[in-house]
Amino acid sequence: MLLSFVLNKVTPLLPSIIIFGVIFGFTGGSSGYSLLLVSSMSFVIFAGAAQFTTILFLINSEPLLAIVVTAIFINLRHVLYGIILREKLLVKNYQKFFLAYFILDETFLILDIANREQNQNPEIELDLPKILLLSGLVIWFMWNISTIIGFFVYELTGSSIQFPGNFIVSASFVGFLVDHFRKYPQERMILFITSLIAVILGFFLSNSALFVAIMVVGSVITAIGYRRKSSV
Amino acid sequence: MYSESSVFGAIFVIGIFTYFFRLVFLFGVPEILKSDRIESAMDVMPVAMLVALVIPTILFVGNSLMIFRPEVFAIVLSVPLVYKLKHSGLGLVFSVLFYLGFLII
Repeated sequence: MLLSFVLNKVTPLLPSIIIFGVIFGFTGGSSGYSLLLVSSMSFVIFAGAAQFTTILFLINSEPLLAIVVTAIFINLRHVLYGIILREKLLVKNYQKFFLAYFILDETFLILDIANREQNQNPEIELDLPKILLLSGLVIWFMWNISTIIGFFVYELTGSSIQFPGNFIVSASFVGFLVDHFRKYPQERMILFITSLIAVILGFFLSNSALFVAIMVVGSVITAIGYRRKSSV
Repeated sequence: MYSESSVFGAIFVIGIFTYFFRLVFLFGVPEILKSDRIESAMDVMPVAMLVALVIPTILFVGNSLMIFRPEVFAIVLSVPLVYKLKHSGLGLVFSVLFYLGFLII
């Protein structure tokens, strides 16, 4: 029952995980770094957005310190997940050390769904730590495999298909930006302000500095006066 | 291009910090972090990140605003289609098709 629940929730996420894994591997292949290094990002960092930023900045030869700071800043959101999940993951302390590795955007979403279903129907007994573990393992496996496949796709086709600079990454994420704009009207002001800041600061800052600036400004504006719907 | 060992060092540091962020508050949360404002600020990061990943990388080359390029047109043209079809994953498909179309033209 638990396995079927996890597969039921993970399967709809797999196409985007696989596609983004392949795109990441493809971008990694174009960076000139080895497969070992590119795929190591997928199991050491294991966080898509930070990985994309890291590989993009490596391609642009941004300073390593700036790359590290930017990626760490992006992954700060995992702190929020930890805070929210603390009361849901009632396991022994040593098990938390293992489960923490699998706290991702996707597994957080699955736990959120599981938690809601359990609240709606108290008769259902869902073991949230096991759901986190199982869904995390499936996603880990697919993410790492698709990264390697993407790398080899570049090796096979890279010389015949050449896309400029960051085109693939921008084109991949623009859909999500549009989708966000459509789904969350209450966040359109944040999108507008951060986009405006991006355009203004784009003339002065390097990519990594710009990245951090946009995220800081977005967060500060939100903290000062903006209320978003709460999750979980 | 950096040496592989220095890049791996950077990846390792990012990985350690990421793991630390995921782990640290599973054990306990300081009162200061229970504020709704801080939660909202962290919650908005993915949105700001999307903007940061798309807007500067599309519009700028270095610190120069360069919008009259086929890749910019391709991405911009894909926006209304993605909006209409309500499927975020199609952004890449349409952009690549438009870009290849521009190259052929």
